[in-house]
Amino acid sequence: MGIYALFVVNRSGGLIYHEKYVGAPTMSLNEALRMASTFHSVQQIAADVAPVAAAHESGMTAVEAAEFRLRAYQPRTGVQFVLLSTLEVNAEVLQSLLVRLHLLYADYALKNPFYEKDMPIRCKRFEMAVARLLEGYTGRDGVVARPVRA
Amino acid sequence: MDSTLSATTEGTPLLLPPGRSSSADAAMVDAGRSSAAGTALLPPYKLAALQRRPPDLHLSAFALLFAECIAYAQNRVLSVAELEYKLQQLGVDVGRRLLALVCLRERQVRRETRLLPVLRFITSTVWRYLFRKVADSLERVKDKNNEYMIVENDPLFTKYISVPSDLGDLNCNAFLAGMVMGMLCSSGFACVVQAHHVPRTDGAAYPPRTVLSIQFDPAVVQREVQMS
Repeated sequence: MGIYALFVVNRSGGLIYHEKYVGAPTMSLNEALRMASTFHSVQQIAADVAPVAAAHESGMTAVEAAEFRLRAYQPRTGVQFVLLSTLEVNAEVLQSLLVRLHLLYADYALKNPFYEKDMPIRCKRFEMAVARLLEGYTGRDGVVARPVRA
Repeated sequence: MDSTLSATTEGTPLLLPPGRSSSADAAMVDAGRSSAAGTALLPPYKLAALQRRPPDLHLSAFALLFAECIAYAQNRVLSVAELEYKLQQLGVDVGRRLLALVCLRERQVRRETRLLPVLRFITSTVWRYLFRKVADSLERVKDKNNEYMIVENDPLFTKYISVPSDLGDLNCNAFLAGMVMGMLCSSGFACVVQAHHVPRTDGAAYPPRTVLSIQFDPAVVQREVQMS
């Protein structure tokens, strides 16, 4: 399959953007919001209680499960990008996709005068750029999956 | 355009180092060695203005500045039309200055007096100067002899800007329209330029193409007829 879902969480734990692809469990917007803020809290707690000094800054960045793989990326601004995928997707690939998502966020959301910081991202060009970036990872056998919306 | 001419002629003596005869300097200019001694007298901003190919501006820097301009204007208007007008006026000021600068840098000393050449100058020379490409198309509106349009498929100025639906048909390229208007008006072609969205031809819904529609003053068209 490939990538299940993408979440972008702002620095106070609010979900500002999410996209679900084929294979992702059905989830209402409220559930997605709850998931995002829960993840954010766990992340912060992990950063605080981490016994290793290096983890104080990054907190929890990866979850490896039997069925899925999660990677989170938090640049210095505090906004957080989370990707959920199958085990087929390489961890390095996920990492590079997260960095490129950050780039798209910096370009299409932050350079848009109509976007308010920390508010949900409703920018057509951002949506299009994200779809283009993840195009190859959201389907199977060359079939490009359409994002599933709640 | 007169200002451009005087700028170049007045500017030349500044290039000459003091205490040298102008013929010796002319020889040095020819040999291409004058830059080290001569240009040391020029302040950096003048030096940059004289370079034929100025250093590139980072698109991010421009995009952030432009976004702030729009946000600033948006806080001071009550309607979309007013916002577009403000952006257009901002562009007019930029266009006026830009015309002089482009002519100086591109060594364009002749003033265009005819309608089509001046439009071609803007859509090719100025466009290349601004965007490193020519405009996607320049057309005359059917059945109208005073209306032209410049089509841009995806203008660089609005590369990162998505207009929310509550602002309706706002086109931030009103700034670019203002620039074209400033250039045309200060070249002696009185006109009004406005930016509109038009659907794409390839079927995709987004981003829409931008058309800069130029409406010339009837006097300009009349003069054009008399000249031909």
